[in-house]
Amino acid sequence: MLLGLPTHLAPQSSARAIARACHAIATVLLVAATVLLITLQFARPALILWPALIALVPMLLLLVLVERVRSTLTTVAYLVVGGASVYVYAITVLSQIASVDSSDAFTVSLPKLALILVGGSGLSARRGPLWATVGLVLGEVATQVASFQTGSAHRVDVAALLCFLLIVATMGGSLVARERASRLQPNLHRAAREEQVSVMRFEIEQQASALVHDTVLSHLAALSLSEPGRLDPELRGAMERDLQVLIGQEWLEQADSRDSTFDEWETSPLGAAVIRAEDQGLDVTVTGDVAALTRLTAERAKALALAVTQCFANVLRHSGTTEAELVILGAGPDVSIMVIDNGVGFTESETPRDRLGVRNSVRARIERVGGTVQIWSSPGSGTSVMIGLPADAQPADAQQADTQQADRQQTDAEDAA
Amino acid sequence: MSAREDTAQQIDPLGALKLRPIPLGLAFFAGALALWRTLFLSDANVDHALTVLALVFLAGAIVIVAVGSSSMRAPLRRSHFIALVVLAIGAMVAEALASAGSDGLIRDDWGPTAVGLLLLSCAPYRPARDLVVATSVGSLVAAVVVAFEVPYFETPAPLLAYLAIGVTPLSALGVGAAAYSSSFVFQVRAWMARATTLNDEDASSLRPGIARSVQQDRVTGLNRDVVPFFSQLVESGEITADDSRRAGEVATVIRRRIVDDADRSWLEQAMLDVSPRGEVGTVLDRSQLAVHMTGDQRTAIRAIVSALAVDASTRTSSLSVVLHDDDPVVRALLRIESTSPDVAIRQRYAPYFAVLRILFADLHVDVNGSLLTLRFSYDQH
Repeated sequence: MLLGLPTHLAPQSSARAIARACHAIATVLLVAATVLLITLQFARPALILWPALIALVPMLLLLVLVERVRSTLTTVAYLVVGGASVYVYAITVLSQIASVDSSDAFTVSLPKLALILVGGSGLSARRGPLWATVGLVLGEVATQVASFQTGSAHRVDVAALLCFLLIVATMGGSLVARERASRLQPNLHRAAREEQVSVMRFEIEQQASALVHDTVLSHLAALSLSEPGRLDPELRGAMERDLQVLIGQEWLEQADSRDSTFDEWETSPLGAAVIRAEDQGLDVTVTGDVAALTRLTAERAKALALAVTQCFANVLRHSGTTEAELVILGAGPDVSIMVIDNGVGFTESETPRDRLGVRNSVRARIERVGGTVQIWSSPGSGTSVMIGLPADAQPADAQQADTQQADRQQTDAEDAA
Repeated sequence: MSAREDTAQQIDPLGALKLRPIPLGLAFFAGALALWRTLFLSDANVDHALTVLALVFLAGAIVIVAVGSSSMRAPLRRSHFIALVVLAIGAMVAEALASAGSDGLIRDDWGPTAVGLLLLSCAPYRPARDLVVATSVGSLVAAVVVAFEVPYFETPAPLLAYLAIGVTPLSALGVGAAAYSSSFVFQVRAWMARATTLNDEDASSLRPGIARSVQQDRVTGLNRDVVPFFSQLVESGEITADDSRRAGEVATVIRRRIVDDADRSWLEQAMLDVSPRGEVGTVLDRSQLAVHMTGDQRTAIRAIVSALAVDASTRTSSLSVVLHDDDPVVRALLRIESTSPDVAIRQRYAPYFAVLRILFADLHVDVNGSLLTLRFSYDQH
């Protein structure tokens, strides 16, 4: 997770947002000037206001251009053409509308303010004040010349001056970052990084704990219950495998999703788990849609098999029965698997915290690959463990068909070429 | 704790804090403009009581901006913004009523400009949608006010012309505020999406290294406790009563280690990680409640815990975090001893408080004597 922009990007983003705001304000001002002129023209048809209206058109067009292409060229073009437009607009308004008789009239100020605003929304926050100054000077010169030519009163345009000061203050302010706040941003990004690594490490530790639980701990428990004498050959073989697996391989690497395909139930990870459980003396009845398992990714299929193995181990060790049913349901976007036994049952909430089978080897393992686990059990009424896993979009055979079709299309295209 | 809104203040709290002088300047400028026009440009026939009321309303709105943008009171929530808009529009209406019948020049009205400047000052603090709605409502009220004033203006002109002049300052500045808000939020979101993708890719590349490190940790323990034991049993093919007892003992040790690892929360681990001086703070979290914090909340807590731990004026071993189950929320208390004066602590950690306040809406900071205490809560479901 990330909390805010890095310090070096903040002024740039802020300058862009200020530019966008300036363009929006300028647009409203030019539209207002247009509405004003059209209204007055309709109210007093004798007035000749069309030159002012035409003068606003290039300003509006260049405003759109500046918004789309933020370059020195478009900004200079806007300022130069805008300066000329302001002159034409001012001379028209001052000469035609009797009530507008000074250079600081709000009606005259509208395009001038638009000139200052867009001038101040240049490429960077540093150049902004410079362009705003150019906009102010050009706008003021244009209106003062127009007022001189029309004999109107010369006054300092307070609105334009205040607008200029606000623009310069806003842009200047966005450049002056407060040091103590700037120091925190790298800390936040470092903390976000640590959080990400911490989550990943926790997941891997859970995975490692589940593996140790399923192998070494399980076999140590079997050893602790063994009678003195000859070691059970099956347990001995399992211990040999533990030694090879735990020391010799990268047993925490993630499964490659591409190595998942299997054709036969017996060769699937879950099928192999059932066969192992039957070898250990559990009578497993498999019902439902076995083909649905092909809709699982390799990682999920592997996690499912390991979790179901733990469920079978729990049935054998704790349930008091040697029979279990495995139900596979494949309808909808999920694949659901139920492990059911009619044994003594248990209360999950009363399971001691140091019992890791359900907690680590079933629940955490399945949740880590995006699945869910629900357990229904109570003393005396058996246990049902339901594991739900998101399926791939389409079954493996359909994916294979798609791939073959794509291959055929490519071959056809190559032949045609 | 509510979801973060699409505002500059809530998605880039530090950026908003750094730029705070600008919105404050805009808000105070609105006040100064109103005061200047009232004192120097208003007609002698104005209703003084209504004029004062307008200025009081405006001052109230400015106070809301100042408080809502402060690191100690942020963020500026919708309810506060509504109050601000109501006060600002109230000021505009009161000013118009104060000069009703004697207002000859529309340009002397400060109401619409002041409302527009206040909306502009809220640009970093509210989503564009809220600003557009406020601008629309404000413009409508300004239009009604202008419509009532038109008969009294010195210069005869069509109503629409006066509306264009009277409403434009408010609508232009309001639209500008919305444009700033949407543009800034869009840019930050776009950057975050890119940075998150790159971060995820980068983190994926770390995975094999972390896996090897975890495996090495486990293998070290197993090499010591299990490998010689299993090797001896596999080689001999026999098991004795001593072997069975030893198997039970080794299983207990391994099980306890796994449970300890699983029970250590990210917060306890973070406290261990940030204590270079060997002085570790304490976490009291009997119900495993730290796990319910979101990723952003964890990040912010990691950042402040890390900063407090390396601060020369604090005693790291006095750092304590207590999490208390108050379903449906978790109540948290973070406390540390410091030798700095109250004001210095508040100033030094103001940016942290600004970030925490966005993520924990009810954050309460208390600096009392030598103790800095933070109280906050978060959802646990």
